[in-house]
Amino acid sequence: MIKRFIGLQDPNVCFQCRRCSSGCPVAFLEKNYRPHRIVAFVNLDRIDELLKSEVIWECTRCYKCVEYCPQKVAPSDVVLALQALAAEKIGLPAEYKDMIMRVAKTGFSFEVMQVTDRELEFYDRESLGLPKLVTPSSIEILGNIVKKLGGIE
Amino acid sequence: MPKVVVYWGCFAPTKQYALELSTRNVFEALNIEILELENSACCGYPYRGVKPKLWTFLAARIMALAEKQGFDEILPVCNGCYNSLIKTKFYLERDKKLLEEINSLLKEENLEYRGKVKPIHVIEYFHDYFDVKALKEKLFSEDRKDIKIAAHYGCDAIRPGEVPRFDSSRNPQKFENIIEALGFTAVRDYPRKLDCCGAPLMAINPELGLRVSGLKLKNAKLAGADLLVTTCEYCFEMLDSKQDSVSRLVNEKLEVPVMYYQQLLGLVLGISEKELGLNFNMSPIDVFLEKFKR
Repeated sequence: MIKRFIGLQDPNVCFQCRRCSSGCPVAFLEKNYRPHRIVAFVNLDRIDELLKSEVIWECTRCYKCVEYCPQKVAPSDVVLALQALAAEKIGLPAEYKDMIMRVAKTGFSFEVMQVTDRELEFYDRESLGLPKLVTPSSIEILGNIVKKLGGIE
Repeated sequence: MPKVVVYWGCFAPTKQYALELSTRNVFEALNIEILELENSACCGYPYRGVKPKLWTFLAARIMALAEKQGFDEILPVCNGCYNSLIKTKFYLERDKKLLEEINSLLKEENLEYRGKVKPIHVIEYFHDYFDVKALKEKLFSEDRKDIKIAAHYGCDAIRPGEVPRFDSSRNPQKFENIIEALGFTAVRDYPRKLDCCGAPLMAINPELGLRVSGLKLKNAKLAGADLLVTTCEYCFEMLDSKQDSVSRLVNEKLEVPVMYYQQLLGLVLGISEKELGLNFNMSPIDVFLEKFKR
């Protein structure tokens, strides 16, 4: 079930050497986060537990674990696949839902912001002489595809 | 006049204006024309976990737009966009079924992905496409070997190594080369040089994201450099714009001066600080600027 999302290598070839966890910056900071354990859980078919767990949202997707893995298991890709499964089975986290809706509406993931500089002066694109950010002319068609693929109706 | 197609992505044109400002002004000074990608939108990067098909579609769409406008190469300014494009290109070359599906969706906008466009990284551009070294010689500006500069590549520039890219995923050196080409001393290595800035966690787990950034900055400080440079606006947001919040969270004075490479290049070219958006840098760059002007 999980394999259809994973590109590189079957997680079953993992022999739990823990190199992924030794290089992971999040594992360095969070004692409950260990990529090799996530891979082990997948191989033991304890996926439902993972989907409910916070750990699948703690990966910073830096892919250091992928470089470290002697078996090319790609723990980062396993976590990404688990995120996709969680979004499908439990629901898309609200944070992503808002962003996807914005893409459907404007084409972009973020709203154009006013920002302050060191002197606390306000600036926007116009006052900086930057060209206006244009929404794609085909946004209606694009928006519908984005909503469909984003699982939002 | 040489031309380059810049893909600005989402985060630079909506918040990190200093990247767009410095990039536009540097290219203008170098007499390189920037061509805009029409109907540009998000590359899908934030959704590569939760909605992989949406990510693939949006990334393929950007490359299909470039193809439609007759471009062979595209220069994303953001690491996330760069990785989105090269990974999607890599996967679509290997998955004909997915390619068909994506193309049937792209057809609704009269687009087709044929895999003809090559995404180029900013570091790659200044290393392999534009000769920074020749530029330096033309400028007759003196070498500043007394100034030490460390590079932050950012994960999406270099990993995963399985997807072919501009430099080694384990021991990249091109960023340091283009720093040295400007006459500075590059710090070739420091602890956690290839570590993450924490930005990808900000959507869903911001506190952890800031702590990852703290780990990176604490170690970057050990580089003992006068300046840390990056090309990615997500990395910059974490390392510079949010450095104060990170400092407070990890309870340590970090005080690492951070700039975009484009800002550094602009300074060497003699472009004004305002035109490089240096007033938006929140990290303590003043000490560096003083030393640079000496």
